[in-house]
Amino acid sequence: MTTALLERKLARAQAKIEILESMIEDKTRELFIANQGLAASLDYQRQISRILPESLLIIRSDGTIKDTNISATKLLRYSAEQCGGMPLDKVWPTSDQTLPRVQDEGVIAGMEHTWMTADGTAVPVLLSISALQAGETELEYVCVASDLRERKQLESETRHAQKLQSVGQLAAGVAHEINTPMQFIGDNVHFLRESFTNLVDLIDVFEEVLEAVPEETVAKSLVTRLEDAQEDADVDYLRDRGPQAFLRTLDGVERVSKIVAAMKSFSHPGHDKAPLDLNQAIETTLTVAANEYKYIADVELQLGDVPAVMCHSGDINQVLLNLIVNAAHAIEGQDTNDEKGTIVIRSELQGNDAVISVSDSGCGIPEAVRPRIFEPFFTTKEVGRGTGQGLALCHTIITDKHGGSLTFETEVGRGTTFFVRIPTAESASSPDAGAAA
Amino acid sequence: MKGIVFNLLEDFIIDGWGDEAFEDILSLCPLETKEPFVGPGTYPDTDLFTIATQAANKLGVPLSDALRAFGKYALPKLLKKYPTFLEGHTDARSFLESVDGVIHVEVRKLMPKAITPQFTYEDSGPDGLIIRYASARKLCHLMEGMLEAVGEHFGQDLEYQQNRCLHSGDDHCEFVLKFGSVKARVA
Repeated sequence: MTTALLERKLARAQAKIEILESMIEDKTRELFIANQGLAASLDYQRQISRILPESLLIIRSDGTIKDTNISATKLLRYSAEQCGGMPLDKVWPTSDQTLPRVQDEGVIAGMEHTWMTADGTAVPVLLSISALQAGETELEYVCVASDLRERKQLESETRHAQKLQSVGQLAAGVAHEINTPMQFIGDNVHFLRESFTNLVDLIDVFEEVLEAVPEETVAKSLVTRLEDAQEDADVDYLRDRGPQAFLRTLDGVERVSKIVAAMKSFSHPGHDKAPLDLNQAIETTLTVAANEYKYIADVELQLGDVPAVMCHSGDINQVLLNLIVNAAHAIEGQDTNDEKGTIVIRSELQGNDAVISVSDSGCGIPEAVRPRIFEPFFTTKEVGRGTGQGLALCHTIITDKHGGSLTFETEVGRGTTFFVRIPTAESASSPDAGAAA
Repeated sequence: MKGIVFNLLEDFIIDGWGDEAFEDILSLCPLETKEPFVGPGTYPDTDLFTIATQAANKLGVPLSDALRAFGKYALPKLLKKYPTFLEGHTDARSFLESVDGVIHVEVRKLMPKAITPQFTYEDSGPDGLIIRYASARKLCHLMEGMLEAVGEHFGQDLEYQQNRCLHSGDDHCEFVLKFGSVKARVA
């Protein structure tokens, strides 16, 4: 091989080295930029995952949790570290039945399941799960869960409202049917009462006339017949008890009419906010609820001077009814040797707020359940008596619909007081008022 | 065309006919590429054909024969450089069936600008296989040499017959292969 040839080969080899070095540098730069892009992309995806309102879980094929977003840790009440590696069936007990289906079908969306949080709360969730296998990576599942509690609560409230509406319509019909006969019963009793008075007056005149007529002018047999008839009719007893019987009958008729009027008032609350006399509402509700408390508690009213408030009267009546019935149940649940308890209902103006308090001398609320009493479906009453909707509904009505507050003070064994605070018409800033503005 | 093929062609000429022959051939080639060819680089296909044609002329053989010989030379070198492509294959058929779906995929991963030919396969019995080759480069003669090298590598008789050819106006080349039993494997 000649020197010239060797020099050419050497020059070409050196040039190759330079080109390769340059290529390595370019490739290193490309890798650096690609890594930066990848890091930015990962960060971007993490940001999106972080702000997602839905819970996001990445699940390994062995059924353990690989990763979660913030919404998931908030929902499950486990930290991200606790979630990492945790068996999925700890939070989703029936997951082992669903994941194989996802593996077969690829994606399953719109399933409703129940998850268990760290504190043992059962949470209804809407799930969408996809099987994810990119290239040679291990099979994973991407699970997106929406918390259904609020929706379930709204559905329940809607059902409850529909039920109340049906009951209200039924009550309105019954009230209408009762109202008409009660009117003529009342009218006829008034007529009979006047007639009775007239008849008693007539009998008095007969008796006076009989005493004034000389004995020999009237046949003895007629006098005896009259005296027998007086004795049979027990005229003195009728004269003594008759007016009282009429008074009691009229009182009864008046009470029935009052109950019917209250039922009509409950049944036709109106859809728009209107000024409501809270004291009147309290008295109306007490009439309707009398059967719930009259054998259990005496009611003491301390009604102050409260201006009318803008509100949905039917809703406020519903709140008062629930609080009074709850008060009666609390007293009933306490062992008092059949002694009646006390329900005190106060109304007063505090600043710009009308405040109604309903106090009972009942059993009080145990500390453990206090944080949950406004949760929907939460009840301590026996099956069939409490739906767990009453106080939740009250809370929604007062806070959401009227911009007020519903709070309570309680002492176990001594009783509970619920405070309903509603802004008065002048200061009302409820969502409805805002919408109208 | 990737630079690794140019380098293999250079080695093929030097191994067969010496450095001076290669320098002579190179000096006669009007190449588009002015710098030396390096493996990871990508260069015009025409440069490869220019060198191969010039080499065939210099050596006094038809270009098709030169390419066939080059294919037979290049395949063992490529297998030595990328031994993972052989993993799991004990016969020529198994290996050839992995070319399009595995090897070419890996080549494109390693060299993103690489343009690989398209292979399709048709089973023609327990010892038969039809391979259809399509490529704008029309390097079916190179492939013939590679097929022979595959048979030798696995110590297996591998007969082939070409029914269709890109050079005859077909849209692909068709190779009907017949495999014999594996005898002794080339180290």
